[in-house]
Formats: sequence, C-alpha cells, structure tokens
Amino acid sequence: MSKAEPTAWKRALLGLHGLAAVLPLLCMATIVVRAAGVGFAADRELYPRIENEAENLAPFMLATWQRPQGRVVLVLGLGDAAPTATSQSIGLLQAFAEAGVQLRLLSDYQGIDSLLPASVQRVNSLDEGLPGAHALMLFGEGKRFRELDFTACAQAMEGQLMFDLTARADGVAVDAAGLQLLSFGAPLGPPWLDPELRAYAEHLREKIPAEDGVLLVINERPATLSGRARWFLHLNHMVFPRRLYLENSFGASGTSVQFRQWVLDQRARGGFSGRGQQRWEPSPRDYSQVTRVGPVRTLNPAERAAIEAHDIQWVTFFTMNADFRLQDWETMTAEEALAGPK
Amino acid sequence: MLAFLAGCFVVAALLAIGEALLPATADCPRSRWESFALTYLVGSAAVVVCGSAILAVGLPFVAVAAVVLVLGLLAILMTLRRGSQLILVPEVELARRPGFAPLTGALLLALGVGSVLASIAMPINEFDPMLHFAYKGKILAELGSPLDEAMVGLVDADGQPRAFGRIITHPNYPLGVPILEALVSVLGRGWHDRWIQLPLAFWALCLPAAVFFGLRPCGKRAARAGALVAAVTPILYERNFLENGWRDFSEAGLGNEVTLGAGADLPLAAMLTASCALFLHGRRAEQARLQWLAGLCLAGAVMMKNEGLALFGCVLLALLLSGALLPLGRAAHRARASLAGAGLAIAGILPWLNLRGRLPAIDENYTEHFTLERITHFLNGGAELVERSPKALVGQADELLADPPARMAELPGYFTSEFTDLRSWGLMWLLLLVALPWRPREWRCADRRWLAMLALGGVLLYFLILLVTPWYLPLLREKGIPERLLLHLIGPICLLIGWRLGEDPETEDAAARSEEVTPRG
Repeated sequence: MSKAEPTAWKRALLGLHGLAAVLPLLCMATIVVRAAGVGFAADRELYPRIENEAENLAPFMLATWQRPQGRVVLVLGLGDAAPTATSQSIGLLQAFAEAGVQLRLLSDYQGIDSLLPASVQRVNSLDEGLPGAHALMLFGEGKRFRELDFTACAQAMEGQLMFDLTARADGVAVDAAGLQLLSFGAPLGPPWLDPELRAYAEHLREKIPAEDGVLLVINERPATLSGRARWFLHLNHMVFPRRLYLENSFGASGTSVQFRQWVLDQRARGGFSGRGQQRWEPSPRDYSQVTRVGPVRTLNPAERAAIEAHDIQWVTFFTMNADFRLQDWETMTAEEALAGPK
Repeated sequence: MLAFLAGCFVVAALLAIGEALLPATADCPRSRWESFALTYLVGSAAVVVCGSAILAVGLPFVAVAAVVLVLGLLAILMTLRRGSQLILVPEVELARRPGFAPLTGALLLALGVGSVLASIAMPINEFDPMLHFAYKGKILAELGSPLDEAMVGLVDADGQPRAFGRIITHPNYPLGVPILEALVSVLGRGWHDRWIQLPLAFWALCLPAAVFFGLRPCGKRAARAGALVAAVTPILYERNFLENGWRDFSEAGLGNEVTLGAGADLPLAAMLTASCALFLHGRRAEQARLQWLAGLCLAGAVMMKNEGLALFGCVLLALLLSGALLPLGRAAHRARASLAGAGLAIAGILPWLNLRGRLPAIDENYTEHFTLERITHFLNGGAELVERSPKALVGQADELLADPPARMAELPGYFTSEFTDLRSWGLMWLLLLVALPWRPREWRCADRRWLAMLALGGVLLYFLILLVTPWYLPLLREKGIPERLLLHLIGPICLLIGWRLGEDPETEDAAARSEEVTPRG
C-alpha cells in the first residue's frame, strides 16, 4: 500500500462530511434573517399557521351551547383565500347550518353561493348583521375585519360569544368589550408568546407587589390534559419574584407525564361544588370584562390554611384551558377571597 | 444598553480569568482562535465551579458576582498588560498558526460567527432554557440563594411534597447556565431575556478550536482535521434541518431542533470537549497545568447539566481503565498530573453535590433506576412502560396495554437511526468507526485508549440510561432523545477522528513504540 492511498480516502471522507456544513449555514442564516424581519424579537408571526379541519372543530364549537338550534351567528369573512368546497369556513358553515344555527354572512366574495348552505343569509354591513346575533364567527378576509370595534359589536349583539378562527383577534380588546373569546384557530407560536397571557402577567406585575404571595386556585376539575394548559408555569416565570403557590405543585411542575397524572388526580377528587364550594363573581371583575363565566369560587379549608401558612396576600382563581383566555382568570386579595360573596 | 454592556463584561471577564489560568502562549503555543476558545471555556468552568461552591457554603449570589467582578477586572488588566508586552520568538509565532487553507478558514469563521449571531438573534424563546435554566438564573440574581423557598418550596422540610407549594421545574438541575445568566443580570442591574444569553453564545464557536488545541501535539494536520470535523457537524448548531423540506426554512430556530441558545446540552458538550482536549494536550506535551485545567473543565461539565455527572464518571473510568492514571514506568509523571487533574475535578464537584442533595428532585433520579436487575429486565425483553404514555393516561391505549412492545425492540433502532442520520451528524459516526484504535499499535497508546473508551462508553452509558428510563421511551424520542445526549460526546469523538485523519503513519509508529512526545520547555 502506498502512503498516498490513506490520504486520499481520508480526504474524501473529510470532504464528504464537510458538505454537511451547508445545513447549519443555511439554518443559521435563515434564523438571523427571519429574526431581523421582526426586529429580532420573539414574535408569534414567525410561526407557521396550521388550519384545523372543519369536521374536527365543529363539534367543539357547537358544544358551546346546550341547544345550538335557533342561535344566530354573524359570520365575518370567509378567509383570506377565495373559498372552495373544501375550505374550513365552508365546512363549518355547513356543520352549523345542519345543527340548526341561523347564519348571517358578511363577505365580499361573490359567485360562491353554490358553496354556501341554503339557509345562509347574506348581510351588507355590521349594522345589519349584529342585532339579535348570539355570536360572531371570525374567519377574516384580508384586512377587512382586522380592526373591528368590539365594543360596538358587543353593544349591538344579543349574546357575548366570539369564535375566532384566525387566532389573530386582539384577545385583550375582545375581552375588554365584554365578549367571550373562544379561539379555535390553531395556536400561533408557543404558549409564552400568547398575547393574552402576556397582558395578564403585565396586569399582575402592576397590581401585586414584588414580595407578595399568590395562591393559584383551580375553580373546577381541569378539563384538559394538554401540556399547553400549564399557564401557571409561564405566569410563575413572568411575574417573578412574586411567590406563586399551587396545590400539589410537585406534580404540576413535573414532566408532561407527571403533569397529566396531576390533572387526573385533580379530576379524581371530583368537582369542587360537590365538596361545599360555590361559584361567585365579584363585580366589577378585576381585569376581564366578560361576566357570568368567571372562575371564582369559595375557598375550601385547606386553601384557607395555605393562605395563613404561607403568608399569602392574593388569590388568583383560574379555569384550566388549552387556550389562555382572560375570562378564565381572576385575581383578588386574600381577604376578599376568604370573605367570599358579599 | 446596561444589560448588553454587562453581558460584554461577563464575556471579557471569563476570557481574562481563563487567560490568567492558562500557561502563557510562549510556553504553550496556540493561535488566537484557540486562545479565545480555551480562555472562554476555562474561564467559564472556573466561574461556574467556584460560583457553585460559594453558593453551597451559604453565601449569597452577590458574593459570586463580586468575586467575578473583582477577579474579572484584575484579570482583564493583567491580560491587557501582558498582551502589550508579548513578544513571541518567530518559532513560536510560526507554531501558533493553525495553517488552514483560506477557504476552510472562511468556512470556520462563517460557522463560528453565524453560531454567535443565531444564538442571540432572539430573546430566550424555548421551554427548557426559559423554565429550567433562566428561571433559576432569576432566583439567583434576585433572591440570592439556591436554597430560597422559590427553589425548594415544592416540598416540606421532611422532603414530602407540600400540599400547596411553589412552582419550579427540575429544581436540582445544575447551576452553571443560571450562574452565567444571573451574572449578567446582577451586573446589568436587571434581567434582559436577550443579553443574559451573551455568555452562552460562544460554545459552538469554541468547541472546534478546543479540538484543534487538543490535537496539536499529534500534529497540525490532525488538529485541522479534528476541528473541521467538529465545526461542520450540523448537530453542533441544529438537528434534522430540511427533514420536512422547504417548510423548515419557515420554522428555523423556532422549535427545539436548534442546539444553539440558552440550553445546557451545548455547554456540557463544550466543557467535556475542553476537558478532553486539555487532558490530551497536557499529557502528550507533558504540561501538568493543562491537565489540572482539564479537571476544572470536567467539573465545569458537571455544573452544566445533570448528564454531566454521568459523563464525569465515564471520563474518570476511561482514564483509569486505559491506564492513563497509573503512575508507573516512563509515563509516571504524566499520569501523576492526570491524577491531579482528576482529583481537582472531584474536589470541584463536591460542593455542588452537597448543594444538590439539599434540592428537591422531581425526576431523573437515575441512580435509583440504574440497577443491574432493571437493566437485565429490559435487556431480556422487558415491556415498554406503556402505562406512562399520554394515551394510556387518558384510557386510550387498551390495545397497547394489552400487548406492550419490548423496550429493546425500539431502543436500538433509535440509536441506529441517529448513527445514519446524515442531516444531523454528517458522516461523523462513520468516521468514528474508522478512527477507533483497531490496530494493536494504536491500542498501545493510552491516550487513544481512553478517548475511545470514553466515546464508546458514553454511547453505551446513554443506551443503558434510556434502557432503564422510568418514562415512556417513544415520548422521549419525540423530544430529541437520544441525539441531544449523543451531542455531549462530540468532543472526544472528533479528537479521535482528527487523530486518525491527520496521522502520519511513520510518526505514529514511532510515537506508539516509545509512547512519548518531546517535552516542552
């Protein structure tokens, strides 16, 4: 074997391995360029959008009402792209129409009537569509519904529901108008970038002194096993150094498997109403303006003892949900929580 | 602005402290690139090891910050003074140069600079770096103690979970990354999600340079090959890029596929690389001081991530079994320095182990699971823990529960798929196969033996850890296991590969026969 041989195969292997450098170079360049595009901030708009199938969404949306039949929904737009028979918006309208929901449609798309359920009533303006509506259903259409006056909508409507299929509605503004936001659009980005979570964390930072303790209280059995529902982890990080306490935080803070077990343990204990607690609602609410759906309940003896034992000054009630909704969170002083309904 | 300046100061302090600890360039020739990497890695190791020790004896974090501030300033002044007086003889100046072809140099520069920019392009934006590490950094910076209720308040004094406790993920994770972040926060007088990452942005830049330095005594050709292999291996920066085609361009840097950033896998890999490189260089060039610093970096690896402790054991075992620690015969002086390095490493981690024992453990108590009985059980076809799967927890896995697959039916496949994953590893695993000391004359070289034992032992260790994991293995697979673990071994693997690719058969034969290299100085 000549001395040149090993050098040749070594060079070849090294050269082939060197080709792999293309991947990290491309990846890092993409990261820097895209970050520059949003001002080097962590932005939800960087994340790709995922559209849920209509047949998967419709049952959840319709389950909002005990009896959907006869409800009136004003549909705002049919999506950014011209709808087709397989569009999410068309699928959902079909499902709602079949469930007996009365649909009013505000859209600029023409020549699509054959795609729509026969019962859909076209309207020409918000003023025409809002009176008597129990809910809004937002698909959007370009920029048309990006700057809705939610307060005016809430005042003109009969109900207080808003289905957001875009996941881009301003949750804080919707809540401030007293509308109950139900976001069925795919979540954009990780939980810590949720704008409503960030707004609520900011609210708590302003409201609660840095050295105070806060007891987090779940108002009812957790409805979801989704890891995304661990909003308390992010809130704890965001409002640090405020001291946040949670029942059996050992399980809740663990891995996703331990968290799921924690949820199941919470569920196994049954509903709180069955153990002597009752729901109530402060008036006015602390931050959310949506009424009749708040998470506040009376405290049980263990929670009362925890307030005493850990020098806790505040209580934050919450409903566990995969989406962070302002209406699900309510913070009050420990004194108010201990006193209960007036 | 203050946070940015504080970040720059912490980086400068790490570099200067490292520079003060390393032998002078005249005594230990190295290029500016290597100097930057080694001083940064050694300085970081010194700060996190000493920082953990200070916290373990009960002093507040402000004492750590004060020590770094004072020592950092002194070291910076010393470095500036020494730098202005530094005149190297032409031979040393020549020996310093790495000798890369211009194109290769440009590639290394692009990868290194790219890794720094990509690391700080966005504020911390991942679950693990944010909740497992940055949160602890905040506790250190603002509350001052790792034994504050914020860290230990999950449990009561008797170790039992509290009925109502504080919220924290993995409280007993090592404090290396949080200490570096908290330093920026304290010196910058406030937490800043982007700039606290500044001292964490250089691991990928430094790792190939450390490999180069480690292989210097084996020849510059070997050093260049090793450094190049390390630098172009994609997982040093990201993994599985373009696995989903063009869609990955729109998601680059947004998932946990990126290794860069404020996580702990890359710091652990970099510290282990520095330790191996310093041991190798120190042993072959007979520089005892480098071996002591190797021990310091090994302790630094333990401070970065829990797995560092397992690898710590692996390194010591590899050194011991290879005979590198046996102070016998002609290599006795070399072994004595290695023993001193190992002793320093053990001393360096003791304060942390003491502190760790006082922190609650949510999971990862692997010593409890790592038993011969459990290993045998799974090796003999023990079933996967399907009952811990997300579906089983909600009662949707009846079929799977009725007939659970054997864990051994899945686990080897996970490793095989990594070894052949060119997108993440390039040809690194194939090159390792080539680089192992197959021939008797290579096996006679103690340094090749311990490096090979460490590389293979590390893979075996992680295989066994996953074999006995108390979690549902497919779920771990979804989260980037085992590749995130295998990344830790990139340093020793690249040292072996570089040595093989750059070796000169005649020199190697002579070196293996005599097992000695001309001592310096």
